[in-house]
Amino acid sequence: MKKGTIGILLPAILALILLPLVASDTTTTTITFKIPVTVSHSIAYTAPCSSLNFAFIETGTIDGTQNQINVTGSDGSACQTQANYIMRVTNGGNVVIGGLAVNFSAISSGVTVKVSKGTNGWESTCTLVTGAGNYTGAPQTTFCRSWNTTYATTLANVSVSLAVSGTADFWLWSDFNNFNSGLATETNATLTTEAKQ
Amino acid sequence: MKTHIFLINNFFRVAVVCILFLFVTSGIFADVAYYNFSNTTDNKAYKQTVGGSSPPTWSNGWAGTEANATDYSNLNSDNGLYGDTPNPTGSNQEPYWRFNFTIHEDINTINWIYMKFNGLENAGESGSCYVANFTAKGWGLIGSIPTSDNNLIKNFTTASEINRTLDNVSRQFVIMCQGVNFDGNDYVKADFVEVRVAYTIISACYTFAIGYPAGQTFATFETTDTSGASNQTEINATGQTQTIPFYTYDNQCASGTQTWSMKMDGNLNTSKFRHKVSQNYNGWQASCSGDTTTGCANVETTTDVVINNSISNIGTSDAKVWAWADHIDVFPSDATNKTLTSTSS
Repeated sequence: MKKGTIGILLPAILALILLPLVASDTTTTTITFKIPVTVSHSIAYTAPCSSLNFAFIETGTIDGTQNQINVTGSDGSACQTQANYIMRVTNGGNVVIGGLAVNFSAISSGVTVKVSKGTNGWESTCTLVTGAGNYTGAPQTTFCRSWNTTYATTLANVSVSLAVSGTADFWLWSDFNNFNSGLATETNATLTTEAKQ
Repeated sequence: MKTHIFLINNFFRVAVVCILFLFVTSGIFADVAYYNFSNTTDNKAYKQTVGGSSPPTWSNGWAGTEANATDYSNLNSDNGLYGDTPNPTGSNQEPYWRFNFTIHEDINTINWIYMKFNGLENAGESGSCYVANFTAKGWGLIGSIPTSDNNLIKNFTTASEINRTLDNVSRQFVIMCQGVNFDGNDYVKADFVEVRVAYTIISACYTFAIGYPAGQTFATFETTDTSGASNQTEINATGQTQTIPFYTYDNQCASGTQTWSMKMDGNLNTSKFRHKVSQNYNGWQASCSGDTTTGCANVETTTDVVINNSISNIGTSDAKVWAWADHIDVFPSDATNKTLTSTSS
């Protein structure tokens, strides 16, 4: 070792020794400001219809065949009209609803249920016919989506991109085509709506 | 023989290193602070052409006009250039220079105070230098002003000397050099004036630990208002209850108190979120008072906020802090993370 080595090392050693002489200590905490995602929607019905008072009733000649039957109450009282939607869906969550889908527990043979966002949306054959799973597109004010007995339980979009607190109005109709061979009957089904982000 | 000397030399140096190591790791070592007129913010010089009496009374020693830039330039080194001469306008006057030094060291750590006046007086009469005695409210005689450019030196080494010559409130150490019965062409010339303060540095312990509620490793403020825009105040950090604070600060040093400060790594968007802390569970306020003992303080920027300035050493009660967030019209996409730094000092 050369004579000058210690002389050079000394300041370096002292510097290392002095390093612990700090005037503070620190520690950190990660903070998260969090808003959980809530996907939620509610449905309002035009009175006197409700979730339990919702019917498609053939009028006029009772033969099991009639198009564009409006939703009424179980006793036939008027609910959906040209001016009045039957269902208004409100986004009650805190994120945009990317897809609002509908299906049915069952649809009788000879019945087609159609959904549109406008009073003039009924079509003899809907632009969107629900097949084996269909989340693409949604009915608009000028056209409809339909379900029949084969695909009754298939969820399919009736709306896309519903903003937070936004609303979407729907008109529903049934077309009867020799339903129950024109004989009086009554069948019940459940309509389910599902909102997805 | 030459080799032998080399070994002794190195042995000596290694011994010095070892001694220094022990000295430093024990947390105590000494340093000297130098005060002169290279710093004219903390240190001021005043010249008075007409003094009231000799020796000066306490009250008449505080007059004078502050030195100008040329005076200060000449006073800041021993180079034969003098501050302006406060020679009297009449006869039998007591003109003086007064030098006020602001000392930064804690008086309890000071080992000695050294003062040096370099200069001269040219009168047939004498002149003397004094140091302010803040205890007795008087001027303590140091010695005669040299009659040729020379030093007048005094070292105050006892606690009583240090305590009376350094005012612990104003931090002032004051020297006065005054002529006696000076006439028109008599003067006190100051070339260089310096104060040195030797002090002990005690490296304080700042170690501490932060504890969280069981199961928590970071702070989450999660709103329960998820119907549309979230507007919710006083959201507890997850795991925090009335009896369980979110932060528990444990001073881990054997002695001394610590101050706990908090800051964020970046500014919080306060139009959407507010972050509040308090030393008591009921301390949340809509608008924080800043007093964490009775109310709350906002910790939302990169500026340190003192939370508690008297946390006692290990074995005593830990300091506790509750934390809340306010959410203002926020959606899930507004969620954000920040890093909060706790610092001891």
